[in-house]
Amino acid sequence: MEDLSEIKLDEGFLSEIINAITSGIFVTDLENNILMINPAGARMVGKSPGDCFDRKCYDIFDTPMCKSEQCTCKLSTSNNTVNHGETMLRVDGRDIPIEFTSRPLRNHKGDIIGCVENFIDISERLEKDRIIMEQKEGLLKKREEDIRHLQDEILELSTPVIEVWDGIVALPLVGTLDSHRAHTAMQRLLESIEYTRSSFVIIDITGVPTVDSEVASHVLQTAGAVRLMGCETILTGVGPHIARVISEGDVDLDNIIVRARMTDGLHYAIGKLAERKESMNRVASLIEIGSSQAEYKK
Amino acid sequence: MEPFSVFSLGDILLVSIEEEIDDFSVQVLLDKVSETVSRQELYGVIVDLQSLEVVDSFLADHLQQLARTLKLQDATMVIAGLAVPVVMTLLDFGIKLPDLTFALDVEQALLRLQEQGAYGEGNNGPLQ
Repeated sequence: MEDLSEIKLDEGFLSEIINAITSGIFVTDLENNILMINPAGARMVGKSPGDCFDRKCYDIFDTPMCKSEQCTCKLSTSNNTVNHGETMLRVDGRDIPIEFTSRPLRNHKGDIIGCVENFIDISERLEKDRIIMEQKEGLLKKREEDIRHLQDEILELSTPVIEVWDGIVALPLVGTLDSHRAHTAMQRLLESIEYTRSSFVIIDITGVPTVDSEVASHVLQTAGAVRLMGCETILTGVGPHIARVISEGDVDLDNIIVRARMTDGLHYAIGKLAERKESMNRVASLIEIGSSQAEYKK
Repeated sequence: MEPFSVFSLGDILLVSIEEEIDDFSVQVLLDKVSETVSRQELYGVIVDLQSLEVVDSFLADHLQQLARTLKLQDATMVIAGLAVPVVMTLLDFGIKLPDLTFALDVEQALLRLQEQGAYGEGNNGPLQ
């Protein structure tokens, strides 16, 4: 029994080693003829090493870069460089992704006489990469969902609708308004109008540092929606900057009553409510008079 | 059976539109309301849309038209009972309804009619 250290590193033993390697290796001359190929390389295209000898490498291995300027053997032999990359190997109508490396082969004088190419099937690796990517995307998606959920919660917290008087609700807006927040605020406001049967809405924007024309139009749109509910909007706390933005935009301020401070808005609304109550009482008394007159006529 | 009902409340006409009114019935309703107002010398019309789940642009246009017609007949029209989803849809579609007056419900609509001077000075007539 020979020991490994006793074996001579002769040609036979070296080819034995090459044959044992699981990645594909082949050697070509400068005319693309395959001079040597190991069984793993031949097996990848469903052939035996014997089938491949003395054939052109592009007949055996069909890749998009064969017979073109991109031929890896040509590139590495003409530029005297190591060339590596990934490509698709076409075998029996099916594409196998491979990773390849080619390097020029020299004789004893140092002249380039051929090319060594080795390649491995990376379909499993790609599949794994794909799975990892998918998992990553899934995680990202989940995180985005979580963030959105949290944003919704914040929205819920940041747009309180307060019933400040019988028949008057207030919506104090604080912080920056984006369209999503404006939309949520509007919906909640409408729902609370329906629930509290209010006749006046005070939208206070003292706490809003700045608005762009889009947000301004959202506020005015809210006023439009409030009108459709049969309710009046009082806008208060409009700072000079916001006032300019709103006036510069092409907006219709007909639906809105503006008061300087929330206090003024509340005064106005309470006054109006009192007026209405009075007119209702007057009507009630008129009805009473009317019915007593009718009795008198009988 | 018509998909709407019309009640007379003294000098006010209450029109209640049922769910899914078709375009033809809308026109019938409009003619009927306009004629009734003229014949009975009514001064107010309340259109109750509480049972509607959606107000399309056709209905919206015709309601606007009715409001303008009634204005020319010296009567006021108030829309009552638009639900929140209906309002949101109207906004999404960009339907503005500038010629209409709105109220939360029929009770508020009655108040609104009084406020608009139906019972105002020099016009206590309807009740006396």
